[in-house]
Amino acid sequence: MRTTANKLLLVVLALIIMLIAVGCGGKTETASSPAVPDDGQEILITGLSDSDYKITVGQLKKLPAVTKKAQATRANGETVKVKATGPLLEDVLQQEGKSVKDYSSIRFTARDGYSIAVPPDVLKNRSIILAYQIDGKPLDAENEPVRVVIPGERAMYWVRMLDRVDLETGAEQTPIKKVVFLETAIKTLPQEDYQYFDSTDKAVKTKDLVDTYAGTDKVKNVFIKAGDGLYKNETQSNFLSAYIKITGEEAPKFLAPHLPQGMHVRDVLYINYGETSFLAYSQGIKVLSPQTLDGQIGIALSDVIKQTGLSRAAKYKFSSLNGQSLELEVTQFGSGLIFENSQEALTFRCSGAADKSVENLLSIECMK
Amino acid sequence: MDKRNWFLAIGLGLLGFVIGGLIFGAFWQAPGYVPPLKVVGDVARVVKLEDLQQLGKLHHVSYDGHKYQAIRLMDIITAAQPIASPEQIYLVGSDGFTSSFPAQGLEKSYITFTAQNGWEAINLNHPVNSNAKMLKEIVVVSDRSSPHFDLTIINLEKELMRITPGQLYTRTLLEYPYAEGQAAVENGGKTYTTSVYTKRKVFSLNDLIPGQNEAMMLVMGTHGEHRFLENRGYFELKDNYINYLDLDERSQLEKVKGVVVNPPATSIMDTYYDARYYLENGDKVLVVVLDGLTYSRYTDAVEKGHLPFLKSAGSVAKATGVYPLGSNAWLAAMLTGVSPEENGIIAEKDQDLKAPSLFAISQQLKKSALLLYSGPQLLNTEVEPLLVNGKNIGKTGDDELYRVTLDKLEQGYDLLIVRFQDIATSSEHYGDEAEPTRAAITAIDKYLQGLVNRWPGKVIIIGTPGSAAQEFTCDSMFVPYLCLK
Repeated sequence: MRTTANKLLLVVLALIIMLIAVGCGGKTETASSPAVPDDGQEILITGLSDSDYKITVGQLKKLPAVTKKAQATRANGETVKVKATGPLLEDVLQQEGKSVKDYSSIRFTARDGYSIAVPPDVLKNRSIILAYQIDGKPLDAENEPVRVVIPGERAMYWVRMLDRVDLETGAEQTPIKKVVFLETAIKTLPQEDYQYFDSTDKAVKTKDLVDTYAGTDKVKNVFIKAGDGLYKNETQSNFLSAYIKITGEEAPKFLAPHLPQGMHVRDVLYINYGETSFLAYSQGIKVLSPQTLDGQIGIALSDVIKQTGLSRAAKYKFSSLNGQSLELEVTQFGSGLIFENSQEALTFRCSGAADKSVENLLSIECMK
Repeated sequence: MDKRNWFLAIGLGLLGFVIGGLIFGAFWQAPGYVPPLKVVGDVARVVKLEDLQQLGKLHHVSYDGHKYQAIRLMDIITAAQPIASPEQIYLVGSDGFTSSFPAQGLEKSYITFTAQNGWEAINLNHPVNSNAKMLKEIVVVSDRSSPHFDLTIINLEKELMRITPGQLYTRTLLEYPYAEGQAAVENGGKTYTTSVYTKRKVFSLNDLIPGQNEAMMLVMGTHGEHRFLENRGYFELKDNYINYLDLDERSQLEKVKGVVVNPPATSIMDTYYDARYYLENGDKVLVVVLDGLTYSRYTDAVEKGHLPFLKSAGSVAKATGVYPLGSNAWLAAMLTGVSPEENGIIAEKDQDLKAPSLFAISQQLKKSALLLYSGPQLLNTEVEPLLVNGKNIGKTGDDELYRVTLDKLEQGYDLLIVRFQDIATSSEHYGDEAEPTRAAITAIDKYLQGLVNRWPGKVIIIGTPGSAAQEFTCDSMFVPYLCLK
């Protein structure tokens, strides 16, 4: 009996020593308790469609998931290493026909109010994972419902407790206050012969167009969208050194003899320059759904506003080339239409109100 | 407890210590922070030393009455794989103190780490001031015998500058605070923001080549990037490569290989836009690609009378190419009108186009099209290429290709693209001035005459530097471009 007690004492003694040795080694970090799974938690995405778009964690889990090892440096120099599992933001956007690369900036906001805007070079070069698992485990309360993980980027971008994603495009950086119709605008501008392959077409200088209708303020970038959906951001100086070819093949076409053909844009739908958008009706009628009003076929005013991003206002001013103007409140123009009349001049008309029309329509402006 | 049990208890206790120690060792992390020491400049691999034992064997060094464990400097440099023979070494301290000495004679040069001085140089053979302390970087500057890491700046006429990352470290550089982002958080109804910056070593084009304020630049990267930019940003020197930062756009082009200052508007990618225009307007288009015919080789051949037909055929434009210089990358850029970065053809092994080519356009327009060339398959396009190999004794690949092309001319194709390569093959094997190269050029001129005279449509003739060209040079980046109407 004594022998057994001695042996038991020995084992207890050895265990105590082992525990002391391990205990001296350092404290172990205890993980936070896992959160109760809640696949119904929503993440708000703005800028993806006309209305706000919400996606639940359950919906995210139905998308193809990637698992990637990622490492980032925190502000204090500490290195964070995780294995993140979740869908790519790119796949979420692809569901709506968009890409991360379509945006100039994406801001992630956490439920605790932390937010950070991810710049375009990161958007272009990195994968963005909306992780619902870290190191093979569901997220804990400090991270759920989703943690943004961007392998190769600083930890400041790895937003925990994701609540909201704001997608921003360059076109939306400057609100559009005025839409100028290209076909009317060029009537007052000097037109030059432009040799284009075998034909001699007419072109206007972009500088003339801008100086006359948009002012001379410095803008950061010029956004050009073509009828086939292609779009380009162009620098102000490149843009102002070029032409808009207004007749012949592929017109309206942004081009210049000194710019590589890869920078030219054919079948231009609109050009957003600062607060002014130049819209080509000839392309609009091809690519936007034509509408009919009083037997006339044209572009719906609502489509013009939507396409160009014309700001919302209580009142808009419709101006003609000869200086006449019409001010209408939003409630007054209903299903307004822009069409080409028999003299090939652009005309704006409201439904059932012949007196609310503007011939030779030059521009639509937001009123304060 | 008897004596035997006491021994057993002590034994088990020791065993407990050993096991406990092992567990402790597995989870233990060295206290304190060891700042990294990076080896940068003209090296293929950036070595980041964070532990004295990282590279293996340590040497015992006695210096100034103290004994140290240290790594041989030459072992560190070798681990970083210098891209050419190292010429000069710079030891850079965290306070900016820098010592420099030739890369030869490093037999008794060591690096150690001490709690007092951080990473520290011990050069037993060098003057005492070479023993820099608190080191943060070892910069290797090569003798420039390898061109692969160079940044090359050219204009239409000549090479303006060729410089390696290592050499750039020895120049005056600006430390630019590059905005990484602004974070915000709401606390108690107030918004608190933090802006984050990284300090980057930058220089402008003007710093290297004065007088370029108004210049436009075509900047090309190692991964096929191709950007036409205003000179308003900065080049960034990072570890062993160079980036371009457009500060207004907040965009970055990583690993810049070359810059064309004030580039011509004509590019090899115009092939796509010109051919597309003609096809859409009902014309038939023949595109002839001449591998090995650079612009300088073209002008030389014209001066010597080797290209009489081409000289009289029409005006020639000097067109810029793309980087990398592979035959498949150039052909893909011509066929798609977009850069290697966008069409996905960058490395020699790449064959699948990520952008629609002229053949997709011809299919949309319901036009018949064919791609012919000799040699191995270069690309997977929307139409199956016809690979022609010389079958007749005494005939070159181009002879056979010409014969097959003549046959195809009669078959009513709307788009025919043919790539000859004898000029490139001959110059690669025999040299530019050799008789076989001259013969290949003369033969091509006759083929062109034969094809152009028989083709009932537009003809685009364009050169390439050939597959042997690897370097970004004034010679390799410009080729002749003719559009015969």
